[in-house]
Amino acid sequence: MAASADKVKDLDAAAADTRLRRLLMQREVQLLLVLVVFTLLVRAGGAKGFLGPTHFPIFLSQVAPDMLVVIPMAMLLIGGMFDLSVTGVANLSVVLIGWTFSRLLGTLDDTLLIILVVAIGLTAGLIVGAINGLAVTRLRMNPLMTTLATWWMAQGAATGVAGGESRHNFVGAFRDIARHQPLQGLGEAFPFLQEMRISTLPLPVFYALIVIFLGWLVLTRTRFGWHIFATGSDRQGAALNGVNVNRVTLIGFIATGMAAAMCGIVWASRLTSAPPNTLGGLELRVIAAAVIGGAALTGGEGSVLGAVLGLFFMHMIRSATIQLGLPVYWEFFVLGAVLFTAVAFDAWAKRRADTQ
Amino acid sequence: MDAAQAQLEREGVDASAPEPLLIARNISKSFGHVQALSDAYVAVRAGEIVALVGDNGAGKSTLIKVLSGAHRSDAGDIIVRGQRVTINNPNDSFDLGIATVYQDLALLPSRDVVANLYVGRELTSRGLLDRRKMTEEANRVVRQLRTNLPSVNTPVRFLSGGQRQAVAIARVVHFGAEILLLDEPTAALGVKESHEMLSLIENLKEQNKGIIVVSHNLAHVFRICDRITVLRHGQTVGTLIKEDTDSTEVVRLITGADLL
Repeated sequence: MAASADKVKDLDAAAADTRLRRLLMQREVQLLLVLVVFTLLVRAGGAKGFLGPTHFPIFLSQVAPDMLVVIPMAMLLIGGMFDLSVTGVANLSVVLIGWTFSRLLGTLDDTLLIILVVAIGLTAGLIVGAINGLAVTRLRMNPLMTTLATWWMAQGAATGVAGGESRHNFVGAFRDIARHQPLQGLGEAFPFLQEMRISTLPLPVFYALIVIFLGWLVLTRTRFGWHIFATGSDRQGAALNGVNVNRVTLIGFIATGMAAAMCGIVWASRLTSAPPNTLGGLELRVIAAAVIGGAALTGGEGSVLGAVLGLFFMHMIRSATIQLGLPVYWEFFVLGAVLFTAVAFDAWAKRRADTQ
Repeated sequence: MDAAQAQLEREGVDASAPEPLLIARNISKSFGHVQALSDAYVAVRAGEIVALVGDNGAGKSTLIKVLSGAHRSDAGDIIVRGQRVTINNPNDSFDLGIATVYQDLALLPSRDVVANLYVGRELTSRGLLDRRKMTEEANRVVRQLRTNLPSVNTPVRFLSGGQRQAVAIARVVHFGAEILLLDEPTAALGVKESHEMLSLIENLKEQNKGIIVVSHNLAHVFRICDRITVLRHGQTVGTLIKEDTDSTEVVRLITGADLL
């Protein structure tokens, strides 16, 4: 009896010892440390206001549109898939909005027209997402090639519909989608919010917060979320255990497509113009961010918090390059090096775990 | 020992005891021109551990796969709890309370023990996962198997080979498996872990499960098994009661040296 009590105590001690180590092995914790160190270095390097009270709200509104996409993309990666078509989808949604406005401006009530263009934009995302999902699940097509193809088709359709024009005749109120500051009134009542510039945060930051919260809730608190992990870890095994893996994949692609469309809507609102090349490199930016945040390209691993921090890091590098006055041309070199390091680190950690 | 004697031996063993949970007899299976099984027989009762031994290619894995629904047999009878059944796929096998724990466990390495126990059958309350209840249940299952895991919230990737196997076994037991097919449960384990695994299998026996263990390790076989079924060239050449035999005899049956 005494011996077994001792054994339990030993196990507890061992557990406490490994708990700290395990915490430090969490990608989110590592990444957070990297972000803090990076911020301090950039500040020490001369950009004193980097992520300070003036910069931070601006930084958040710059990150927000990408954030809408990185969350469902991370969930798709965790489920063992990925989607290259998001840039094409976002641009298609931008162009369809511009085209609809140019055709219907003045013929409809403004509010109705705004609802209509948002619905058209989201529907484009839904359709491309559904095509991706059905192609991958029903036709067993390879996700890389499928979404490369739909990316080109969506981008081509965007360019084709635009026909070389970026239309500028938008309903004025459409700007509010990206520019409205919902806490403005609160800022007048509570001056400290104004001082910290929280009251100036525009709507997309709140869309992003909602998407982050929903992503976290679904992934960690619902059966569907656990099914995403199971599908990505072992698709056949999950299916044998009663997980509807095709449904997981289809919903994942549709969510990603609609998020990309929403990203396009925010950009169209911010620019009030609709060029077919509004977004560039969105797909690699969000996939890289999710991977830096610990999502495995092989599926089964990753988290919403990791994706958020990963995207922050991508944008922090961009901001720092500008604020430190470094040649912007080197930005991609740095991003590539960071991605390379993250992937190399994953491979190293995996090798180590395998040999243990 | 000739074939008739072996036949007597196995009939005699089975007639004296209660109805087996599972009987598989005259099972044959060929892959193209390769006859993997021609007349295989194995039976297991509740609260009994039967070892399935034989040389490489003797048909042990094929027989396990027939019982787990991974392969369909060409001929033969499978009788579960006195009823003749057909097993066409893994779900049929699962529904009959037969669970197979393979060497490559099909666990989700990035997920914790709780998630692995409940994959596909998660508990919810008001639409959201009931994580507390699942954790409590998982703790209960793990305690019941008397296996030591650091915590049920540990990702499986941090567990040792033996602990992973315990999780895989806990999963099938938790979902009501009464007949367990274990394929080389100690092959990948160190000495200490092997002993823990064998104790776990003995616990399962105490819980009245019927267990068929495929193993190459005769020391392990003799430590835990009640009976030993020997396959050679796809045929069951005999079923020995542990108390009546020794490893020399088993080896002779496995290799066919007794015929010389």
